Amino acid sequence: MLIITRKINEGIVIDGDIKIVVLGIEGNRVKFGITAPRKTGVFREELIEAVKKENQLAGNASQADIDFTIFKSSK
Amino acid sequence: MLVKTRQFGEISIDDKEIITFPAGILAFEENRRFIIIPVENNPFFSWLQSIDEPSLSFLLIDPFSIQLGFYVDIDESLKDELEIKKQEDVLVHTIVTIPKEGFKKATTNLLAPIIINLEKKKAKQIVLDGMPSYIKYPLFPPKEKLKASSG
Repeated sequence: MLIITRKINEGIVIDGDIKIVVLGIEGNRVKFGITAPRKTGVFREELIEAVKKENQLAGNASQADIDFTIFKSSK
Repeated sequence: MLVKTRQFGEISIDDKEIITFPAGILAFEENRRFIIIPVENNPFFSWLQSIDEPSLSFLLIDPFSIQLGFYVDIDESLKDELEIKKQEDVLVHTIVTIPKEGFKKATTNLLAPIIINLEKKKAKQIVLDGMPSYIKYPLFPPKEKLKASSG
């Protein structure tokens, strides 16, 4: 892991076209400004972790546990 | 080719049916090749079965069947990534989670839908910018409590 110290309004550049700037610090909160190409996914880490966890819970679904007839679409 | 699956036994598939997730599915990044197996008698569900891992299968649902206001914005970069040329080629499904309490308590992850280009057989699980509670959106919304009779 790279550990780096930055002041407010200073940034870091990753891989040429991803830029992260420290915009401000309020108490224990740090505000970042991020510019990246559209294809770059930028997410809060806890959101990605939550999706991973949900995928793990869903990944071994078994048809034996399911009565599909009880599902009625609201369509 | 023949594919071993935990749920469906050994099944024979046409290689052309294989759907590739170039970026993998979150938490299962190693498993990139899947096939879609329809659910008999229920058009809203299907199975996303791994080709390489027999025990890995996700139940998918048509999210529009439970949340009419649901929408996904397929932006230009996703179009490029999945080589999407026509809207008709795009299938949007979400993953269903069945908890220990059973199918009646099943939820689906509206926050991270699976986008499939049926024409090019390329797919991706995208993460939307939305409410975290949409990760567990109920298939069977809890019924409102019955009102006490005034009688």
